[in-house]
Amino acid sequence: MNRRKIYITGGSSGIGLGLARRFARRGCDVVLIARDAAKLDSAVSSCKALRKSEDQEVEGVSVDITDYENLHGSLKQIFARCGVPDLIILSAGTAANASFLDTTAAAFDHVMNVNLFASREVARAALPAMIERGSGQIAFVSSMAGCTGIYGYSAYSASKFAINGMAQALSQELLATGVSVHVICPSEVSTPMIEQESRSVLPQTRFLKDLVGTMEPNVVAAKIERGLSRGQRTIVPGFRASLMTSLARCFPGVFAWCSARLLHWKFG
Amino acid sequence: MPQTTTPRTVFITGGMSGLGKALALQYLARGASVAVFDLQVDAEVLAALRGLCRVDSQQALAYAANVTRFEELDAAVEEAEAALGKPELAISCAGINRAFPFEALTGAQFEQVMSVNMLGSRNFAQAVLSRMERGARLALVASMAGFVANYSYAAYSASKFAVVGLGRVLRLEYKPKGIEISLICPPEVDTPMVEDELKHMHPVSKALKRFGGSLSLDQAIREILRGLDRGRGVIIPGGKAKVTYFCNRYLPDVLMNAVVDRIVRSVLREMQDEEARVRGKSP
Repeated sequence: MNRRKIYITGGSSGIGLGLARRFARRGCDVVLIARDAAKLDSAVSSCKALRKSEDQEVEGVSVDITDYENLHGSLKQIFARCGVPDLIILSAGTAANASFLDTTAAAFDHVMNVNLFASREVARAALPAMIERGSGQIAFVSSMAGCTGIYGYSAYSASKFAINGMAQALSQELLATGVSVHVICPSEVSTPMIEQESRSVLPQTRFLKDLVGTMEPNVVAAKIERGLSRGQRTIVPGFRASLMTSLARCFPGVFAWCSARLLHWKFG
Repeated sequence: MPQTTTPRTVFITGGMSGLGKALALQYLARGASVAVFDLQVDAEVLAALRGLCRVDSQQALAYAANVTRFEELDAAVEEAEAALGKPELAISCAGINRAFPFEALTGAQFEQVMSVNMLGSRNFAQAVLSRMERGARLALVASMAGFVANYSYAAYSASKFAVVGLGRVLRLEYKPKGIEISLICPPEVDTPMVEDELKHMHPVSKALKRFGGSLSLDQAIREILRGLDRGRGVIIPGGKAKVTYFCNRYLPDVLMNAVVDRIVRSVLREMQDEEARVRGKSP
């Protein structure tokens, strides 16, 4: 009866799906929230196949999280049907890779809307019931690009830095409530988002990201699960990613200088 | 090469008050031509700016432009460029704060803070970077809250973290083009924005902000100018703010969080006790 209830936005693919499959295998109730109904259906059935028991619930909610009116209606319904989340993972995200002057205002806005505003709306909808119950975890999927700047990612980095800032403030505000806030900062993970991006990625971006390497969604999901169960507030999966993040944080000037030198050496 | 001489043309957003106005006055006093951009042009401020022009070739211009609208801002920057020439230094100062707890903050308020602080910086950066030449500098005013978030600052911290992120990316992209980027991250400075905020600031925010310290406008401007003159990439005015910044850089998260948590919890407890006392007195 007391199965953990996990809600995941962007749950039909990438890191979200990796986490959903993992939690389904663990015997949790899983609710996937995603835009694409067809991808959502196949994600739901792949999670169902991994269930430990038949009565374990796996649900899919097809909604565009940037369409707030529909979003709030859908969330209300699903919270009423499946209960208060024990863990809500905000994994829906999008990237834009282009040099700053080639990133249009519209592209910039779109990245901000999906990555920041929509995640905030979902968190805000889930929070009152979690606070009332006095427990639960909110996990924002940010990125290494939320800890350090990456060439060609002005919009993406800005949106992910923003998530880190918002989550830090929120985490202070929720201290006395029993609800904890977590930020996940993975390096590149081979997901549909990255695959789509790879067709037009800037060589400079590719080069910098290759220095940290690419991880598989199921590996990342395992590391995220462990971080969440330990109550880590900032989770950086992978040794290379956490090393780079620490370097960027302790020595931002040196880090930027080295990145710039490397880019200069490689691309002139 | 770090820029050590005074730039000849300086473009500043939010130049009608606070940090923006003070920086405009300083650069005019040093003999630069200055164009300021703000929501409205205040005739008195403009007269004060003009009063500092000493030579015929020096000009002080003000444009009414909303930084959240790219076309409007870009057109104003274009006009300023036609009048003064290419910007050698551009400072993005326009900023607002809406300090409310996460749940009380409406979507509209959140988006407003993000638009002015984050998209405003982006829009100004786009407008000036396309017009800058080698040796020029773009400075973005972020905040201490761009490194360390604060209670009831969800929107402000999100927007200022974002400005820091933008600055970091721009630094990588523009270094090869010979254009330098500076991030200015002041603690609380005595400006109209902060004055307005002090009216309803949450006690926990107040307690946490003590770590960053509080600066008079003069002190802040002195240190910002020194940082810009020396071509610093990150400019943190104030001693306490510098200590906070370095603690945040070098101390492990766990330790920083433990300190912050302790303060937040103790202030919240005091508030509860106070509330109980008040309730006890007037049943």
